[in-house]
Amino acid sequence: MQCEIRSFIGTRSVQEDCADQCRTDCGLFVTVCDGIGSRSDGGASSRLAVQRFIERFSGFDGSDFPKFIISAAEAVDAEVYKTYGNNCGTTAVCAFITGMSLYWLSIGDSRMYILRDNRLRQITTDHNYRYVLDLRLRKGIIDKETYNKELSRGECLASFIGMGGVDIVDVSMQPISLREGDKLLLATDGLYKSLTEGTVYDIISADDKPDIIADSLMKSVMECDFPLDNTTFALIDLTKTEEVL
Amino acid sequence: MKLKRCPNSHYYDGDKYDKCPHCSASSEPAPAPKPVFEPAPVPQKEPKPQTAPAPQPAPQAAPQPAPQPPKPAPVPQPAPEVKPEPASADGWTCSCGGKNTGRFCSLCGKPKPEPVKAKTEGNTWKCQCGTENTGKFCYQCGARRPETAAAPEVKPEPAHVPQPAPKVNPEPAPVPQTTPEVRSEPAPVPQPTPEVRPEPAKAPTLTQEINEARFTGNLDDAKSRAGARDEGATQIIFDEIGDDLVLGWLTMTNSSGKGKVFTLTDAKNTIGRSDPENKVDIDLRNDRSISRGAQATIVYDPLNKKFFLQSAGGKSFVYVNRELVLTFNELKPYDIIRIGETELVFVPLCCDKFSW
Repeated sequence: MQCEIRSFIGTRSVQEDCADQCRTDCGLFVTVCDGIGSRSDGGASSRLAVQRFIERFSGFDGSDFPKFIISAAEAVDAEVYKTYGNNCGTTAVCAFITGMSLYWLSIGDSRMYILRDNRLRQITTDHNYRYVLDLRLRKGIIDKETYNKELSRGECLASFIGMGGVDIVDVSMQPISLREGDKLLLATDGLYKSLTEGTVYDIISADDKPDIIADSLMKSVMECDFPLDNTTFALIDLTKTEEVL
Repeated sequence: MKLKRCPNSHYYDGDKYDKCPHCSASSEPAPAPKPVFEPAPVPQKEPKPQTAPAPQPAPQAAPQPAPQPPKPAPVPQPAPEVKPEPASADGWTCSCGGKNTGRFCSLCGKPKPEPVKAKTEGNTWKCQCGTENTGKFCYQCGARRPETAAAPEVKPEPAHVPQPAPKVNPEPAPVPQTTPEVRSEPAPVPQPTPEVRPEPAKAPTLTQEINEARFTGNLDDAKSRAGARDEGATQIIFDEIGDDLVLGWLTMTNSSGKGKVFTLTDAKNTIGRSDPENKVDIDLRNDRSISRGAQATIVYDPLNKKFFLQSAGGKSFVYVNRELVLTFNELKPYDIIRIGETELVFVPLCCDKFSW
């Protein structure tokens, strides 16, 4: 199992994404956070969130991940909110791999994908206004006209860390079982807004070493000739590797 | 010399023989045919004598003078504790042999037989031969269940479950962690079963597995689910987000729909008469005097725990306690809302005393 993290500032002036991984006896923990661009200290919030998640994970005993990660998310949310006021925040997507089981948490619009059987599937939901609108439309609270009118703001975040009380979360209540050869991709919106899922699939399904795949994925993003957001991703290859001592 | 007489009227020496030497019947009032059977063990089908009054927990205290035939011999039945069934509280075995916990057999799709529900603990009984049962008769020796509790009509099936019954979980449950990774298809039944019927044995796809594992929704809900996980509240899918919490009710008090209840679950519920373009939450479809579309909205203010009736600017008049609502009115418990010819009584659940 190997995890490769890549990050790219894009055409922005500041890098507000942050990502890190941590390996303990329990397993591998990877988190990717995207500081919120329109807010003053997005980069600081995402770095703080990543740091705190990793710190907390290193003290985690491996027993009940859903419970652990929810309380961690609450605590980090409170701290980011307290430290940076209500002017910033960060998304977070976290994956925890123990044995061949996968747990995750996502808050905001960063995503996690799984590649298996020649298919790239998005595991997480984007917590943006479109999600809220979909929910309202389905419950019949709004009509199609309002929905379409409001959809222009569909990309606005509806939930993030640092809002002082996280609203929507995606969390795995039980693990899904992974298989040899699965690949996981945790990414900020910079990636999926610049490359289509088809392109991402073509690149990461290549039968190469994860570091080479990560490099070529990063390269494809950099080659885009339109303004780019901060782009950060973590690629986890479940293929068993010889443990190097 | 002690002269004795056997039940068949033979006389013999009681000091020399303890049974009648002529017919080998004991002199005591024991039932005559008994000794005849004694040499050959009674086939276990033979119902146990009803005379044994032992309630359920008496294991082997058979009060008969005659020794019990060695019953359990023919069936290689494991000790009652090892029975597969108690493993999962409400697991059941389908007539096709599939072991299940869901409402339908994962192998052949048959629905779970009704009475199995009653099987969960407390409804088992212990036969005098020491076997635990759920049906009306002991599946081991055939003895009738003592008349203590209503015996559920369960076939004594569990006894002969073929041991490698597929351990398929109820819904598209996740493949057990221990499963070896060699499988090629995303949906394997963990163990080969004697008679796997290929068609219905649909194993979960990855997407199903993800949906099962995933919870999307409010953090507080996630928290309580994570806390309550041990009680089996594991998989929650997207559609079941628990924001359908009851806030209050409206009950129709006149016209043909008298007694009809509408439950208020959203912070804003529209009232009126639906048409294909304009759906309303509370659809008073039988009252033609109401114009189409939303006529009013019931708003719940979660901060102050108050309800309001807000005019939706429709063509119909909306009244609260015979007072026309032009902008909004606060709703108090048991206020009467009148729209068109329909009257509704408002009863809140959320108030100062209670809220979600």
